[in-house]
Amino acid sequence: MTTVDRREFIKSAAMSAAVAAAAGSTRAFALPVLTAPGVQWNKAPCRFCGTGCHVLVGVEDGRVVGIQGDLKADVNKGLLCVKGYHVGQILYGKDRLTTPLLRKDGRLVPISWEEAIDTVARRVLKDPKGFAMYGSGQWTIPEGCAGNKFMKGGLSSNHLDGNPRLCMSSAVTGFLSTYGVDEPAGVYDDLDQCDVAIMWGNNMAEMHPVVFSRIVDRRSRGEKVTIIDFGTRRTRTTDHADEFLLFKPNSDLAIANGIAHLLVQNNAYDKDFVARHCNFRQLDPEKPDAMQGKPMTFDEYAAALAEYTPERVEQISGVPADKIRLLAALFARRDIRITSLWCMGMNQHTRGTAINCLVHGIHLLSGHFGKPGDAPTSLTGQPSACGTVREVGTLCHLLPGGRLVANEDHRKHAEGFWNLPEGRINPKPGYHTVLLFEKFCTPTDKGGDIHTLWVQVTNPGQSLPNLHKLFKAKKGLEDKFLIVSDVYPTATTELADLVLPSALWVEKNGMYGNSERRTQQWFKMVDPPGQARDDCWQTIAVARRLFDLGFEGMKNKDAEFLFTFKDKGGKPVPVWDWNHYYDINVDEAFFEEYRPFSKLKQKDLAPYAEYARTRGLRWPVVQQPDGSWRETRWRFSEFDDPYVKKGAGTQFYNSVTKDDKALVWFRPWEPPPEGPDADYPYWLCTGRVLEHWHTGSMTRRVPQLHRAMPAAYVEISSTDAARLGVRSGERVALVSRRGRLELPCWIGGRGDCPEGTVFVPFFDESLLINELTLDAHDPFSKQPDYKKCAVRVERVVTTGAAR
Amino acid sequence: MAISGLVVTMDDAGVASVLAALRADPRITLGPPAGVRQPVVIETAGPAEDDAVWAWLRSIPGVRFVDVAYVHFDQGEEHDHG
Amino acid sequence: MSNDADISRRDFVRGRLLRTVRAMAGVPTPPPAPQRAAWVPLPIRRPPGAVPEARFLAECTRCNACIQACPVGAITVAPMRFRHAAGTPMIDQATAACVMCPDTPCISACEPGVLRKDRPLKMGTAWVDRSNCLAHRGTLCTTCSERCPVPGALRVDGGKPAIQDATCTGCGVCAQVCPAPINAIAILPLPDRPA
Repeated sequence: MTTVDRREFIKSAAMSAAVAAAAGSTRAFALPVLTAPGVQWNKAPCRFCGTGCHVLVGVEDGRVVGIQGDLKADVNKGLLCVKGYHVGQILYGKDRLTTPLLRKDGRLVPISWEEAIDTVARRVLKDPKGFAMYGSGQWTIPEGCAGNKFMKGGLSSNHLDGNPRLCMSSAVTGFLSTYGVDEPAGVYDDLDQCDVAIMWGNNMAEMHPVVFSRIVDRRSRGEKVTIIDFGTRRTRTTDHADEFLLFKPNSDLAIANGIAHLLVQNNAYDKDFVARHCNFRQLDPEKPDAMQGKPMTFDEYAAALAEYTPERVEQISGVPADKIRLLAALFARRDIRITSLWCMGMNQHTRGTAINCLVHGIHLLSGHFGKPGDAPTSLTGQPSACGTVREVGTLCHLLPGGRLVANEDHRKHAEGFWNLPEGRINPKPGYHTVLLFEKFCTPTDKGGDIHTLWVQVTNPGQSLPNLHKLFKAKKGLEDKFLIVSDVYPTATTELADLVLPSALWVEKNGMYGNSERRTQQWFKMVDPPGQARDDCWQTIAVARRLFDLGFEGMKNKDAEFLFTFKDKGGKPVPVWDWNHYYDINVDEAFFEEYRPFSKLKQKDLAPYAEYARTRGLRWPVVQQPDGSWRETRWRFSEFDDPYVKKGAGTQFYNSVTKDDKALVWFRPWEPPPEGPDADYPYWLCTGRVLEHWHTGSMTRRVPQLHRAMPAAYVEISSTDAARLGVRSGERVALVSRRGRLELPCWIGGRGDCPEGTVFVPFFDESLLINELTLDAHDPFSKQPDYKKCAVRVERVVTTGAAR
Repeated sequence: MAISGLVVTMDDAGVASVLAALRADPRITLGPPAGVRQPVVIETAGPAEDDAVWAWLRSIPGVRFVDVAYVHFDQGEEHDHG
Repeated sequence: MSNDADISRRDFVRGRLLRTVRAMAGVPTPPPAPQRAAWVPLPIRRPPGAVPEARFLAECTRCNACIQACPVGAITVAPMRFRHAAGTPMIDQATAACVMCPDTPCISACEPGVLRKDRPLKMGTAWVDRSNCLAHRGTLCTTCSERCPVPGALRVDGGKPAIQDATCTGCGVCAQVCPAPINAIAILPLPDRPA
């Protein structure tokens, strides 16, 4: 080409890019991607958070070589966050686990898969009742199905819990208490249409950046959207907020009650919506542990709120009374749409269930519900916290499809779907996470009745609160046995007795369910390294070993193996043999077995093939007369949800009170279990940062992310720093009643704490902040509070300042 | 040589005056607009001038955002800027 | 924990053009630009407070005291490809960044006085390639501005980084920490090095 031709060519390329970008619905453009003719591109949901972005994964010669945002995905429309662009590199850290390892004389030594699987099976046989499993929202849906069926249907044990207990369970109890069924009624589309977005202790700009961009981008299209940031510290989200309301830790309940009080007092609530769709509830003082509480009248509700005057709320929360009035006035308006968003700030809270109920209550009371843009929406931190944990029911009290182990009918359903003999499922809920680890870390002769714990796809050695008590105390307990299936060495594998190397993300088939009820699917694209194998296979292989050893629980009603999968010709496939595991699509088999469970609570799922074809579908997915499958965006709303009766407008068809109404709860504000005092004068808040996901075991192995955020730090206000005589980069020690940690401080960096508060991210396995955090938890959800405990800050005198 | 493809997002009220300013500069080619979003291509001698035009675009009253959709710099000239 | 080497910006600019041509027009890859026959002096980035280049070359004793004084190991010995500058101290942008120590130990360590406290600390100027910068492309990212050690040198304007040329010292921290898939920050050398 001549210079002129080339210049014209580049100009036309530049113009096409600009025209395409101008016409697009967001300001985000796919980054240019290194590509070559041999690269095969396939879709997958991102491995990290609960947003559920889709990426296109480029594979060349059996290796992932490129990642790009998927323009066809509704969730992210081609945009990715800084982590998402690097997600392919998580497969290729230098220290991948590639062989099973057994601890012998204190050292982990390689063993064969046969020995490894046999070792797990023998631990079960030792005493099946003391064998527990711990997973997470990083389990794929089929992996969760396998674990759930193995434990509850095979071992007759409900000692299976998971990381979402630490992350989402207060959201679950909030939805259940209010609507009688879990998961948000709204979807991300609300963010495209709301006039006001309220962040309840939610740093979306760092934790769910792509969804946050969806709101912020609207401003670039000339739309007006007001962002209100409620927080106990300034964050990157605050930078984009129109209004920042700093509140004292734990006072969010007073604020929510203050808003409800003004709506009632000013007669500004939505009377029609309340009359048609709401009942009122409070806890029963005689049975304070009972989550269902007892009914109250509207007048009783109004009277209970009366003490939460704006002035009283200001006194408790530090938020000016006028701002409380301003918020109540916003909710009183019928001409605007309001979406509330929250995540760990509300969930990791000793009053997590209560604050979740109160925020739902404000939306119901004001009628800001069920119209596009009017929604109370909780977000999830793990990619399949909803899909695998809340829907498949991989917690100690749940069975699939919103069922409870304590409910006889529900157990019968599960025994039916799983073809088990009657009575196989244990009616008693197992140990929830905190209790499970307490029992595992307590000597057997002192009541520690969990002897073996199998951890899959998560890192409790870093993510549990109060780590000395709940994890490190396992050290030296000779008869306790920790099995860890993972892809890299972690804080958890440090204490493991048996390590099983796992396949990661696109090294296996998978399905996830994101924050907006979207079920997603991907196919295996590359082989796992060395001898690493799918978690699902590991569970089936152990089950088969137990079956071969004559363990009754691994037989179904027809005396067949519990995990019998047949090929198209009806011939059983020996999927427990790794050489045959991919002879059929085990994911599809598990999913089709699980699908019938989803009908009970109108969580209908489409056949597997529909998910393979699309970028996910939001349940309930209902088949249409023409045979096609239609997803539902706004649940409980007549215009979109096929389960709502004609003419009802809104119908809460899973209602606790069986009258199609939701519950508006009154929950009082109460002081926190631990707060600053003379010995420990600071609040400690913990959380994540943009560049790292969860405990950092994947993101810290991506060079770009590691360089951008190499180590944990303590964020401290400049006033407190001046008082302590420390500068940015200098080390301080944080001391709580449970532990002590030295780390560098960062002043005026990513976020900004008010005086008297410090913040530490938990991604850094060399600086375990969870040695300091509190294991006090919500009485209903059993979720611990990672956001609030008391510490003191000490200056560390060193010879040279660390930079 | 530097060629970049940009999207200029304008205030409703500012569309006419912004477009007039853009048309007056021979280095700028306008594409078909999408509402308040105007695709443009800038052709300049090098990165320094490209940066300057970009900064100028952002300073025009009525311009809300200038987003980059495409950038091309010929090799060897990027160090001219310094 | 690091593994893969970054793709350099320059390679990327070249690569992208080739790819664009291939993808958009379906025409064969154009031949690479002819190699320059004559040797062109490579720009070199000196530690902070360096005297003019000619004097630096003449008076630096190659004693390595500045290299030993640097607390972060950012200063290295210029390799052979720098020809007559080989053996003198430099900061290689690809692997290291000066962290702008307030007490400038490298300057204190310099006995011949080619690094001087009375000279500007400027080593170059950072330049943001907007086509690769995540913030400029709609992804929330503020890493470079948070880690910039020079107050006022890197402002965030509407969520996007903007370098203040006059204040920026070219220390290279922003380029080191940039988490974009293709590093979006280049450190441009000073025009007088080489003279």
